[in-house]
Amino acid sequence: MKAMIVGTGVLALALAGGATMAQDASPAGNYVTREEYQKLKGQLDTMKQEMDTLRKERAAQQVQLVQANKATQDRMQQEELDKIIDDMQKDIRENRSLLSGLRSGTTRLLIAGDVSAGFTARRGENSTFEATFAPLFLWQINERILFEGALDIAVERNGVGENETATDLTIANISYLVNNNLAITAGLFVVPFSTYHLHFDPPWINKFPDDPLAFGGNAIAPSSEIGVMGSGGILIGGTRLTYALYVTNGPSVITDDPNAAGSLDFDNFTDLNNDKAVGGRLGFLPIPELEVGYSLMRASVNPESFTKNVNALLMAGDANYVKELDWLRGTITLRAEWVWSNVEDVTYHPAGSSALRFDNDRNGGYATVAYRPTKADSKVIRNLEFAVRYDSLDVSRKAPDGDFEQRWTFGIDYWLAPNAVIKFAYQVDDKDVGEDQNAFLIQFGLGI
Amino acid sequence: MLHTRIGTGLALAALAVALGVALIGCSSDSATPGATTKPAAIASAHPPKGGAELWAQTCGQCHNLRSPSEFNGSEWQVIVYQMRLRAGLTGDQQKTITDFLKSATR
Repeated sequence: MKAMIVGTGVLALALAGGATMAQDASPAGNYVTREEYQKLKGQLDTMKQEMDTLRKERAAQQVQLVQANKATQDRMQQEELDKIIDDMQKDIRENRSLLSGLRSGTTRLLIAGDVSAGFTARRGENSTFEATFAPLFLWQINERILFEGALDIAVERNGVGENETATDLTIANISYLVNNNLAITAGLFVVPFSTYHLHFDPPWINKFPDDPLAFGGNAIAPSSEIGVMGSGGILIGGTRLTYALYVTNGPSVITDDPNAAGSLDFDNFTDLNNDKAVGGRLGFLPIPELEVGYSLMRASVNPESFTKNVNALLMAGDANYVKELDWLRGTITLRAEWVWSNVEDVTYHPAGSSALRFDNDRNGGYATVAYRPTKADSKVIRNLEFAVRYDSLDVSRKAPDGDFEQRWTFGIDYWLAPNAVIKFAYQVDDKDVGEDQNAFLIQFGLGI
Repeated sequence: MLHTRIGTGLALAALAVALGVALIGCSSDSATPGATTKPAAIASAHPPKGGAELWAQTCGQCHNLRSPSEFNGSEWQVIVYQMRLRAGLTGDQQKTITDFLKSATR
């Protein structure tokens, strides 16, 4: 372009020079005619116009070039800026994670647990609000060692009719990971006798506001025991086997209470007869969605002062199946646990009562079906869960607390969050001996 | 004694129903039209899993899945340790789930 402009200029000067020479030559008679002059002038004007056009085009191109350079510079600056911001954000995340890990209470010690607030209106009893708080403390000493401690704190009315805050230590143990398939736990731990207390009793997991009879107030299954346990899991082919073997102080049989003689006391954590309880559970997962298990516990349960050694044998079967099924447009939960308890027949002489001797077999458990439409379009519908539970407890009629009680509980839950649920339930109760106690229950459960 | 038998029968029935539905679930899944046939090596009930799948299956069997962002990496490490003890997981499964949750918190 530049060469073209220079060339055009040279040509214009040459023509102008030619015209001057022609005028200078005119006195010699070799003059330029008016017509030739006009022609040359026209050519010069045309060239001037072309030069002006070229100058304008060049200026426009220079403007475009400057703009393009500016855009490139801006883009490069933006890329550099983005990279700096990314680096800064990465540093912030890393520092935040580091600081979070160093924050008191989170490095190794984690406080978790659950809270519940509820209301129960049961026939034959005063309706009442209830509240519980169960903090859980987890402290990982290193890669292999974990401390686990938990309390159950609740407000309740004591034996003389006064309100008090009951605080129970339910877990206090240390675990050591031996290898890929074995962990040793020592202290006060949740006994893997069946699975209700092991997995399902926290209020944000339990689909009902209360416990099944066999695992509740008059339980025939242990919850926590003091002792030592080996547990773990083994992958076998396409399946998984879980196991737990433990030795504990074991439960004790109530001998002096005329209203409860023969019942096992699972809240007595001291060994009364120097004969330890031995038990275990085998679980099997043929597919990931299904686990079936069998539990066994054998214990001498008599106090040392008791006249005769009394043995107890407890057994339990459990099954848990959870799966999201397309054809149901939701998640189905099928869960069942059953406990059989046999305490050796002996004669009890409780204070203020005549001698008691009876067939001391008990059994109880529950079966639950729950459905949550997790594939529904509506969020409100997805958060609902419908659950039905059958539970029963059968105690020999000759025992002081003998009865057969069975209940159907119909529940609707609304999940506010994965760890927060409001539960409504109506319970139809049927007792052979005592008065039926239908109940309406509400509970808000929260996992911390 | 009658009640004992009824209770026992109900428990066995519940177990049978659980097993039955499990088998139905398996068969219906495998019979899904258009489902991709899995290679024999990973067609077992417990194929080698990524952390997300293992986390969803093992933890989801007992409770709702809580968001990975709810706890930081250190906290998840402690939680999954405890869950290994409760659920009878192997050490490898514990590590796989922990690694996934740590990566998901970032």
